[in-house]
Amino acid sequence: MIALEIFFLILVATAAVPVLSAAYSFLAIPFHAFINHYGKAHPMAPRVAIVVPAWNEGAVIGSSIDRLMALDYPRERLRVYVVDDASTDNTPDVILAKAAQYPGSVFHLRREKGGEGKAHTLNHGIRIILEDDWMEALLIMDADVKYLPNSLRKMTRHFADPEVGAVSAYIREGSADKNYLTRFIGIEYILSQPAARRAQNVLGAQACLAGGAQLHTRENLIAIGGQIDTSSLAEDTITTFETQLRGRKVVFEPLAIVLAEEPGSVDALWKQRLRWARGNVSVTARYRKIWFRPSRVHKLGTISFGLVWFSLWLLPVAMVLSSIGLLGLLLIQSDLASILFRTLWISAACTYVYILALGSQMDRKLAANAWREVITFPGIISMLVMLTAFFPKLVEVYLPGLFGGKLDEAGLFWLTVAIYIWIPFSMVGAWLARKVDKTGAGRVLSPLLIYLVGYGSLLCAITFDSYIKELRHAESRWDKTEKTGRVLA
Amino acid sequence: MREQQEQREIDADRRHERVLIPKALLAFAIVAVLIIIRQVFFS
Repeated sequence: MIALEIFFLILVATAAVPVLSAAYSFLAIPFHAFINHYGKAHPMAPRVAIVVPAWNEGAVIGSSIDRLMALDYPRERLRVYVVDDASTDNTPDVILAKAAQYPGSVFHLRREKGGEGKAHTLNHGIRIILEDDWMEALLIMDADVKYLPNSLRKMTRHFADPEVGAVSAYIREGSADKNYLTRFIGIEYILSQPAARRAQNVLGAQACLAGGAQLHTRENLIAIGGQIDTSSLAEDTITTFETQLRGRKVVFEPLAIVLAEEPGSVDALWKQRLRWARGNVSVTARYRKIWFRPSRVHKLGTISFGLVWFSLWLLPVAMVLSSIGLLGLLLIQSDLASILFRTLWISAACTYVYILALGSQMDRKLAANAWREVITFPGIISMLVMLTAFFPKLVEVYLPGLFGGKLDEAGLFWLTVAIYIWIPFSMVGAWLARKVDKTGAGRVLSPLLIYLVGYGSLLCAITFDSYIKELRHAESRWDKTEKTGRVLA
Repeated sequence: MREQQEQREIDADRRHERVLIPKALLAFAIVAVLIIIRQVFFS
């Protein structure tokens, strides 16, 4: 029996790893006040070539080019190369009109064979840009994103440090017609960028350059092969890793802000994130020799970076194992079940509150507009589970008392079972949200389910789906996220 | 002139990062309040 108890205890403990890893990462954020790259930054205006992949972006590409031309950056040191990936809409006409409007600054590069993915499209442009010596820095961006006027200038200043190979910016959710999902995505982006990437600046290793805002020095681009990796769906992460593996720094500039349009439906988000999650599976396998192996050249092999990486990647597994462990301990009537449940969920609640309280201060305006999503980010039911752990009498005694009832022993047992297995079921709820999203009832049911189960559970369900797709060797294909030009200019 | 202005902006951005400390302390304080409520009313 003791062996079984220890086995279940180990299963429960797996969930402590992502909680501690998240706490560690977010505790590092205030240290960015002292450990940042501004001390080595100086005003710099290298000749920047901006490469923009565009496939049927007629609705957005014109205004994107106009905004690039209006950047607070010397015009003679800026060129925009739009790689038209065999578009079938009016994209070529819009680009040609802009090339005529900005002669010598905007260039139209046409691919006759398209649909091979973003990396192939980018490489077409990069090959041409590298043919002469004009380009000193290359900015890779998406056609639909909008750079705030000072953003490029705030990025290039870090190149005063010759050790820096690439700089990334804060991709901020900027849809004009926000819905519950884009507000959740906005909060997620605050947590994962101005919050978590500041921590990664402190810890010395960046996990991923934002696909819509990555600035490379010419030397770095050539060092990583002069092209973007085309073998995986995570070309941004591979570029980030390759830069750091060669001993160059990757800097996140939180004050360079780029507005982006994000998916407004669960189905579109699922497709986008499944592509990212499957890309991360291939990255994890590709760099298997660097994990947890500290190096003098880079910090990707540190224990802290490995824990952060695997905590996110294996979070759904930890959630399922922990629930199995708690249920097992309950069924063998171990006292540890209740103690471990409270310890784990109180730690998770404290970490969540700290992360959300700190994260929402990183972008107060966006967080204020999404206050409902900030509060319900973990999901309403998960919040009740946290309250059960934090304030046991509240849910077990006071709440039933409000309705004039009292939980008997059987009721308490089944309530406990429901609480212990909630987390895996929350992923099922997220999967259901995707299913109903496509139906007539989806307009009401889908948001309701996401508020109940939590946005985090939605992301975990997508990661879980990526495991299944990888195990089945399902076809990896580039599903471009549909863009409609909704970014608030 | 412009370079001096941009250098001042870098220095200001560097100083701006110090605001992370009170922000983190506020987040800590919120967690502390929760723990105190638990200890006082629910333990």
